[in-house]
Amino acid sequence: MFQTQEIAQNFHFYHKLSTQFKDNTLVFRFLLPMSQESINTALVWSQLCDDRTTFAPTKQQMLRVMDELYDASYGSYLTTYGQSFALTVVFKGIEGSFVNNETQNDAFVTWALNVLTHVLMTEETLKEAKLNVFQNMKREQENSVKHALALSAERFLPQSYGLKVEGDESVMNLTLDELIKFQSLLFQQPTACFQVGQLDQEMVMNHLKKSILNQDKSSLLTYTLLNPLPLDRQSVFKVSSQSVLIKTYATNIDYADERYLALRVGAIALGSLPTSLLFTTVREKHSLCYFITASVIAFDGVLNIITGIDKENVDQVSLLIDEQWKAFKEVSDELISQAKLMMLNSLRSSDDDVMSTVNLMYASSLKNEVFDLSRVESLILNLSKEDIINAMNQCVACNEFVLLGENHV
Amino acid sequence: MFKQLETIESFVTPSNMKVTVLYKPDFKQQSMIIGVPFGGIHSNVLNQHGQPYHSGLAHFLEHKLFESESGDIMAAFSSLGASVNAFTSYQETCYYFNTTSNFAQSCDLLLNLVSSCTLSEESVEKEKGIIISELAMYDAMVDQALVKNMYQALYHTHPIRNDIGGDADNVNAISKEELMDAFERFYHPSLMHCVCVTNQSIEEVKSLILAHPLAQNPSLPPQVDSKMLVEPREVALTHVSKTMDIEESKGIYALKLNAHSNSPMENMKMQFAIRFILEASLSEMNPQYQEWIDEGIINDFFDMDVDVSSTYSYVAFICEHEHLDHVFSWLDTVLPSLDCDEVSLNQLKRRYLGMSLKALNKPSSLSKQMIRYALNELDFFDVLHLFQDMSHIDIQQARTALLSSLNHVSKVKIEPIE
Repeated sequence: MFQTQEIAQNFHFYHKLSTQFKDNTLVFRFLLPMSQESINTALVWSQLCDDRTTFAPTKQQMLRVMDELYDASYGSYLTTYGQSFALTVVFKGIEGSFVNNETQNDAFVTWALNVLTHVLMTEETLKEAKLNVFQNMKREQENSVKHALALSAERFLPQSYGLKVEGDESVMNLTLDELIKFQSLLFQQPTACFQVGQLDQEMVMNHLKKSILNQDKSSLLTYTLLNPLPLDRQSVFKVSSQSVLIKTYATNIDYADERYLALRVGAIALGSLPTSLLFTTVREKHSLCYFITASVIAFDGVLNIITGIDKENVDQVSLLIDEQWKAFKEVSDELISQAKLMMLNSLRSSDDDVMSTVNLMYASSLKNEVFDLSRVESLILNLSKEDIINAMNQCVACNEFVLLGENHV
Repeated sequence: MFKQLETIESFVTPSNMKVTVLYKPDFKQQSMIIGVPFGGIHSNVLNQHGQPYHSGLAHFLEHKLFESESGDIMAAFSSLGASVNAFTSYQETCYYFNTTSNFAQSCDLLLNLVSSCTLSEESVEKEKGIIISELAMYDAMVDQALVKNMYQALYHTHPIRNDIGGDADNVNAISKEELMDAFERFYHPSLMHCVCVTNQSIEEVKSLILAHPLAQNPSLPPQVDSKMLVEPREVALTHVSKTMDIEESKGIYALKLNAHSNSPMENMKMQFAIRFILEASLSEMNPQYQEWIDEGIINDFFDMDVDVSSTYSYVAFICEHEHLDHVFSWLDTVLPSLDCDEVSLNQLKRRYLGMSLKALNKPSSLSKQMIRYALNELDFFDVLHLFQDMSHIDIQQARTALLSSLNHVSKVKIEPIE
């Protein structure tokens, strides 16, 4: 279990002492208001974090420091939380006792905070980072499924930015002044710091208190339910050996809703198991696809069904998906039981993965709760088939997007 | 050092199946993986009529093994709360499950899964659509296209030229008879390896594996004959150029090495040594790296790959550039001076020590790494020590192998459709 301390207003420190892993993990999660400018700048800023600091002003020096710490690593990513998005920064370093080094843990925390608070922001580093973000964005577009997801989400902009958390071309206009201003604002946003491993809690706390991060933070709204739009269909052409079909549904149930767990179990039964209605029908019975999944985007109130198919079969697959929604009213007890077990298995194994633990804890904190596995397990086990069918009945189809793959002639 | 951090036991069943059990008491998720030495590369194996197998056969068989006379195996795993899956690589096919409950029953199911194969003509035909859809998914990925074209450019006859999943023509030509032929030859317990990562006692897990029929009754594995490989030293194609619906041109500059041998451990050592040389010379470790970035020769897509197997070896430089010839010319210039000095070697040893310790953190991916090594007659934990013992002499041997291959180059380009 995590122990929680509030370092400053809206700045929480979650500490979990664990001997399970060979390394220590420090995670910082900043919650920011959603806007395209903010997303672009966050992407550039996190690129710079990974590049150089004022303490290690060249790539060579930066890598040398990380290798001194036995492959200390940095990672970052953006995720949506309704009207907000989170910039997550993850640091990992080998636990000192495994390399017989008494100063390793302190040096790791010092390094991590240096990376976070002493980013080398110059015209040169900014230019390189902007180009990296821009080129990454272009590469994402080359992946048919990711490209289709980004395009399908555009219909809902700006009402639900949460569906789309990618940079855009305007990132190239970002200035150094804007970047510096962003960092200053970032450290005023609601912040959570998670520590999992064997780091001394007091030592980490002391480092945090002495850092620039130790200041009161603002609060933010996070939830957005997708406002159902009239059902529409868009097609975009791409030279590709495969077409992608995405059907989007407004769930009308948000993360804090008591029906949320029923919705999650329902989505698993619909399309997240090899025995699910969609998998057994579209893939196994009709041999029309290799993959088909249904997944809930928790804080946006969205359920997406995604499949890769041949362009000739788009209409047939779309119809089969609609039929499975109707068939859900007659879903078997066995499938519901399997879906519950899968969700329980996933929750129970979250303890084995630091980021899964952090994500569950963080999501609960956004609704002012502490994640309690046994309580959630009990809620899932007590769900009736009717609860699950009722939750799935709240879903309203609002978009169908097809990335139409055509062979190049 | 690494073995001392873990509780692990290996044993051989009476049927000659090799089993390794790793005890991870702190982890809730448990897993079992069973590997068979039959993968995409085995399309040179001869069937009962003396004809080579169709490419994609191992992958097709992987799909079909999930069918059983006694009912849907997927459903049986799901009912136990276990998630089951499989993958086929060039070298092997592996089946695995992860679960937090009903471990013993799930083990039994997985052992059953690889024990028998019951196919109908109808189900074989039905699977072809699914597999062709899977192949289409991979064909749409530019990184897959790069690698596929690289293999075809480097090799004349080596079966690595063929996709793991084959192509639509080969998939359509695969029959029930051929699938059964492959099952009989390769799914023999004496050829299988099994790795369990568990929070139950090793003795308990050992007992439940030994109680399964697959672990009993020793028998000789069927004979496997292969078409002899005759692969010239020269590359098959020096230049390949293709187009796809992509935003920026991507390429591979590949060296066909002659660095492999019959010793898996020597191959692994050579692979690490080459990797060290490349890291020291062409990554952020080299102060010139920043100049190359600033001059726009490479960007953060630039990557390097080394593979030293028992029948082939190569190095690949993966790049992205509007004018790929600029990058290829730059590689022509820098490759002759590749090296790794003592300071860099020590820095890399420290990095790889950390990486190896981290590998022990994720039981599910650890079991996959362990089975791949085991099928290649390597002990995962012994391999972790290889880089620690790496000497300057090893580095120089690897450098010689690299430099002697600089005239055996294939350049692959995939450019945007105009």
